[in-house]
Amino acid sequence: MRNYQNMVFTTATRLLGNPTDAEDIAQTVFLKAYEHYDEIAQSPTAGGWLKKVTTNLCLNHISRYRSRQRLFSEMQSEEGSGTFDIPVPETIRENLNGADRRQILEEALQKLPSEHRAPLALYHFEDMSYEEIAAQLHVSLSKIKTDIHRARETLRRRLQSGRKK
Amino acid sequence: MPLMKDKPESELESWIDRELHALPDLPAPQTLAPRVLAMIRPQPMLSNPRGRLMIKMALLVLLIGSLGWIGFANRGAWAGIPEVSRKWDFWSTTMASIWLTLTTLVNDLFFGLRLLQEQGWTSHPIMGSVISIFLMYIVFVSIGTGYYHLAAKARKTRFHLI
Repeated sequence: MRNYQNMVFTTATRLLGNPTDAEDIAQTVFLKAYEHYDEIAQSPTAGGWLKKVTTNLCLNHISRYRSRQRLFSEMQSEEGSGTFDIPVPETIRENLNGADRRQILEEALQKLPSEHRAPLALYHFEDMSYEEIAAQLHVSLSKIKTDIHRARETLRRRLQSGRKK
Repeated sequence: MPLMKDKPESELESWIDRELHALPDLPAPQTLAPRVLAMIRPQPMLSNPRGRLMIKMALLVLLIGSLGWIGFANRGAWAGIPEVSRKWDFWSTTMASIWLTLTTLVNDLFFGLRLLQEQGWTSHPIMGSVISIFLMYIVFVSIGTGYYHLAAKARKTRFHLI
């Protein structure tokens, strides 16, 4: 567990955007791993198995609470006039180094609306295709492409606003 | 880093991909491991397949040994079973029919074994052990297996978070 807990927690956080939910998912993942301990203990693919289970549980979680998340994302987009803008503290706009940029990117990723973050994470972190993502999330292919594009634009603006001055 | 506003989607995708893959893993919260360990510790024996097997084998050996000893050392008990059954029948009138059926079956079984023994086909210890193995395995191991499945199901229900 010690070897894989960071990987599992990171995967769940980037898909769900909520560290609390991610911790619950991670707990479930390791309990499932305990039930299948004899099968995966000495397997070289244990990491892949854990990541796959984490992804599936996160997708189930997203599907289950999609209606609630859709309401929250609508509330957030209303505040930003259709675009998602994250305020940047003045102190980190100057001399943005690698660590700061990673922090900004990580925070921006977690604050993305769920319908943008999940497809983006599945595409870039899980190396899934647009078609696979659309099938997993039960939405149209065009919506997936649009959501991923918007997520990238949001992250781009966030990083660029952090580099100004 | 030049502005990416006018760059095509493919370059934006590549740039974002590089940035995201450069992110390190987030540290798992300190509470994660204790939470997992707290959930799996309450039933270590039942959740361990080797532990369950050891318990079953130990119970089986103990029961076979004790019943084999009783059957071999107390041959007079065979003849006493009908007497005991009559007393139970008198005591528990509501269970009379069920008890009568069970004792009849047992008596017939022992009677058959005694016939075989008289004809020299069997010996007390061997048949006693065989009967003990058969009966006790059916009764106790079945009970143990059923209890394990109920406990495992209860554990899975309690651990089920999603």
